[in-house]
Amino acid sequence: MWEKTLNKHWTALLIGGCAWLTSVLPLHAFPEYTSRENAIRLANVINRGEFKTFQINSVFVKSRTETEYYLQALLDDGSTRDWKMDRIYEWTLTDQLRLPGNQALVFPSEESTEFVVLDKNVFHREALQARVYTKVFEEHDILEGRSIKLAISRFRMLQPGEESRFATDARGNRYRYVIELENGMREVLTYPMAYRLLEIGALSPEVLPGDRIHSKTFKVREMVAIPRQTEDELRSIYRFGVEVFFDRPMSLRPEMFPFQVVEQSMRDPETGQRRNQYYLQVSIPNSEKLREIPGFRSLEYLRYVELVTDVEHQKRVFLRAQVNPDILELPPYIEVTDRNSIVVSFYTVTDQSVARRQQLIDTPTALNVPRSVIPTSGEETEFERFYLQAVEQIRAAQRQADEHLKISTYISALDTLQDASVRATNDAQLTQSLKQRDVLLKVLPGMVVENAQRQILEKTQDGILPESLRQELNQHLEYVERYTSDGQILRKIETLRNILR
Amino acid sequence: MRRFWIPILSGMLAWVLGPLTAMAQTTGHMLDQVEYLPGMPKSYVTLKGQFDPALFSQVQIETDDAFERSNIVIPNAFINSVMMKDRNFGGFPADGLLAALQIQEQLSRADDGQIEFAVNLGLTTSVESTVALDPERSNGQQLTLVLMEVPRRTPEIPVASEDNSLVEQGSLPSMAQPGLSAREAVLLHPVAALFAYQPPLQLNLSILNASPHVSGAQRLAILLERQQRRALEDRLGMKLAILNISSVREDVSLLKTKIYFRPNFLKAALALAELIPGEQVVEPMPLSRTNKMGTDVEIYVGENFE
Repeated sequence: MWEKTLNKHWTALLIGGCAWLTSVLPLHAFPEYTSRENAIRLANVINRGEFKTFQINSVFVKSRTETEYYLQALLDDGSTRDWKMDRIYEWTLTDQLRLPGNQALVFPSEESTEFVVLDKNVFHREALQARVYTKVFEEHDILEGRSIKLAISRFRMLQPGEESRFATDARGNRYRYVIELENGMREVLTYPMAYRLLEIGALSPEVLPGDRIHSKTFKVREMVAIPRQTEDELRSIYRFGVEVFFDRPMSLRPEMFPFQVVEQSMRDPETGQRRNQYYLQVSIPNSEKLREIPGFRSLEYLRYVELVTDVEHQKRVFLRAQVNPDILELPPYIEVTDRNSIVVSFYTVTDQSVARRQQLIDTPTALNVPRSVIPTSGEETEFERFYLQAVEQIRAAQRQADEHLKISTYISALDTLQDASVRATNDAQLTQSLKQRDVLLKVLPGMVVENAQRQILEKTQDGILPESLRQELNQHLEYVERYTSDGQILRKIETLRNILR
Repeated sequence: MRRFWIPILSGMLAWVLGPLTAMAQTTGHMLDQVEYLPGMPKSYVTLKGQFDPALFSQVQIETDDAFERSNIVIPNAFINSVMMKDRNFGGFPADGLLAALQIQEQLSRADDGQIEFAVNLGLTTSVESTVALDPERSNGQQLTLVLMEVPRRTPEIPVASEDNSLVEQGSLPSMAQPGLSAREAVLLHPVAALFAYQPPLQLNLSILNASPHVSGAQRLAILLERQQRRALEDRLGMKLAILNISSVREDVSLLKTKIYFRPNFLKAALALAELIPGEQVVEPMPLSRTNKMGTDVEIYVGENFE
């Protein structure tokens, strides 16, 4: 009986353990079989190669089913071996299977049996002659999809002593080569990486005209706070920022400074409880911080603004600040100046209204409306042309110091918005252009009245109100009179027009 | 007799091996004809023939400082002399950007003795333009170059602070930045982009497992759907729609969960980061992935998700 009970417990434990293992352990497995065409191609490549200490005399293609193929190798000791794809993959990682002619078998993906052949001689020659290395940032790197051209210092093979530090990558591919760059970075490469560099032409023997080659890092020198100022008076958006200065002119484009928000679980020094803190980090590639640079304890909604070295990536510095995620409405914006600096602007939005749940339930319109009336690609439409022009006029007006010119530009923008609305080809475009018009018309009457009052007061003190200015003020007042229903504003307009008459 | 056979055999061997050496470069392009699609502010020049898309990355494009002449080098390319007899083209319509086009075949011998072949295209434009390879319109049958008019730069307007004095340090240039089109200038600036975006009423979410633990994406989807939906919708004023639950490539594994957001969805991404247990990283969606329309936020569930 005990035996039976024990057996039951053991069986249950075994099943439970297996279930746990399958859920916890990675389930990566290289396929055992391949297609007929791939098997034939692979047999040709492996033929006359070496397996461990044996010469491969010939390789045949065999099949398990109609779609599953594997190889059979005849070795120089007279033995024949069945080789499945997963074994071949393992042997390429451990150098037990070597191709003839100083070539290497490379499987770019762990999920597919598709392979490529790296001609190591071609790679050596290209790497030795190369002067420029185009570093393409990998998937899930904050700089993913971007690239930077770096000057090569020298190319070499990985030294025996270094193999302990650089053994294999996450997939088990051994590191083989090192490209040392003039800015102090090192690229340690596996065969798949080397193949990829050849494929994308990342190694270039000459500097092409117009290429920006970076042979030195940008050394951060200091950080200056930019005080809060109005960015968009129509939506009550304010801007403040941080200017980071470097030792020389910044030649990287603004898109090379991406940002991320990182959540970190930290212990509160006072209560001792763990709390998640959020840090906004702007990455500065090809840069170094060589000395301590004073930061700011507080800058608007940012706390502990500082420059820190990125410990995960070579030659990168973060502009980092603690931030409350509930306040961060708009992403930061990065601009490169001609003062050896970059400006990182942050925005404060006072209107944080969102649709209420009941509105969502009640809304009769489709929820999946287009996200933007301006597409990121494709041909420019007539609506887009006028709408973009209106946006540019509004933004120009917002940056205009002279109040009178500002109003004139806003009025021009209203006319352009009208042109855009007429050319709208769908409801979304029409809604958006009319919405912007209404936002402008809400603010403009007050501005026009204030400006007219100020101009009259200033010019009356000087003695004369120029005729051209009188006419313009009259036109502004007449324009906004049509669109306002506010009794107080209408009364002021009437008074001002009487004075101007 | 033997004296005769040796040269004959050697000759035959050379005859057989000669073309094989020339065929060492097994891939390349063959240009049959040129097509031109005029337009403003973009015109397209399409080369028809046989192309190897894997080699498109080797195409070199250089534009002079005046943005009036561009030289395009297409390595590993031949001209089909039967199909393309004329190599100089002109008299293009005035409503496009292209003024003249010359095509030349270039053969050279490399240091190792191999023959290198390339085709050079000389493009002269009627107005200041840049030239780029259009990957969406290029494939095995054609290679398309897009000519884009360089946007007119608006004069810089002085920036005023609240007290109307000009700001020296931290002053910003006008919206028009060199190399940016009017469209990009609007979409890339967070405040200007508010003019383009409409307030979304639905948040389209994609959850992908990027950890070795199975069903990470499913568990997160259940958490959001069953426990956090109401809180998230109330907070964002958007309906939550989980459109996709799947896995990324097996060799991709992230230590921390990553939340990628499209422009205008930063707030939603941060709200998700707060609701998901553990530590998250929030980043704008990389440019390489923004062409995939449909989802507003993508969550890559990392190893730290419990």
